[in-house]
Amino acid sequence: MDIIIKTATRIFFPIILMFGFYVALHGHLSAGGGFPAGAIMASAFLLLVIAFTEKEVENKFNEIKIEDIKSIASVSLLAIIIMEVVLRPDLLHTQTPLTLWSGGVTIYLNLFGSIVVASGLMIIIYSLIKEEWKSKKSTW
Amino acid sequence: MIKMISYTISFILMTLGIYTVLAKENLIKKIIGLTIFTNGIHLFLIALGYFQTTQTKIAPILTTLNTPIAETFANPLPQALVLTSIVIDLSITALAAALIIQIHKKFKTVSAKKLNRLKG
Amino acid sequence: MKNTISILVAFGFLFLFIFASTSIMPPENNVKDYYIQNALEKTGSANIVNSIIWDFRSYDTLGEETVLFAAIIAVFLVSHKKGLADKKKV
Repeated sequence: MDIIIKTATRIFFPIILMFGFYVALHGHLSAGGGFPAGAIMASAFLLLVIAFTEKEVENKFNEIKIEDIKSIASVSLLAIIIMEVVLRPDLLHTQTPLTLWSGGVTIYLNLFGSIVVASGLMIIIYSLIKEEWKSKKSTW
Repeated sequence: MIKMISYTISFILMTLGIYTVLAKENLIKKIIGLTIFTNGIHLFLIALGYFQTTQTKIAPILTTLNTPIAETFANPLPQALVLTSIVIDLSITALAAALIIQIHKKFKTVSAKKLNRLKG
Repeated sequence: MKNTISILVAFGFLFLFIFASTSIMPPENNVKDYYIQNALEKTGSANIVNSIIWDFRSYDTLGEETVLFAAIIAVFLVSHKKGLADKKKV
């Protein structure tokens, strides 16, 4: 792609990722939550895939890495859900409501849920864009 | 008044979606119709949660520690279920797109009319 | 012919939806009041939608994640003929 799009992607990619993490971490206080945050992070990856060529993307990400991240995040999600039964009453007594560290383990659930959704959407995007890369290698 | 406008717009979206799924030959257009249909259903459910009584309501997010009055908030249950439904719609769209890519690879067409041979 | 049938079916659905929305609409339910009044003290999160999807109705979210995983695996299988295991060896 063009040099303008590449430079803009280099600037905007960390900002979009940071906004996704903000939506995930602030999800229990304002509008948002795990799934919109995951969609925002996956849109950052979509911008990366559109702007750069196959080799440049595969240096940073590949499917096996993303699959590993997704597996680790989903195992952590399940572990938090199991721990929630034990931890939640104790945490709720000590935390003050309407601040960032409130809501017990909801903040961790939001964070890991957003990572799971983001890596899942990344795998879908990657699988679909790979056909495009195979079919006409010269343009992208 | 605005209640009936919201319902009517969602019904029109649903009708357009069903018509697109049934009438168009192109498989990509069929997916677009499915998405329009699902968006109409989501709009209808959200409007149903908002317009249960006549007074205006705010989003279901608490800002003070006082005991909240339930009448002033919109119904949070359809919003949570629509959030579930959006992800499932996305999964269906992704799977259909991947299948259409494979169909185009094998048969060199995305028209449903030309895909009428069942063998192979 | 096919277009006519499609238009008829679509308008049939339209009138069905209008009939359903005007006659058999569910009345206001009490579960909404329970969720709004007890969300902050039982789950601690101020966003009531978030407390519903992660706490009150967690099984819905679990099933939804399962559907997302199944879709991802299906997309993966459809678009890669070799699969992940063969790729790792090369």
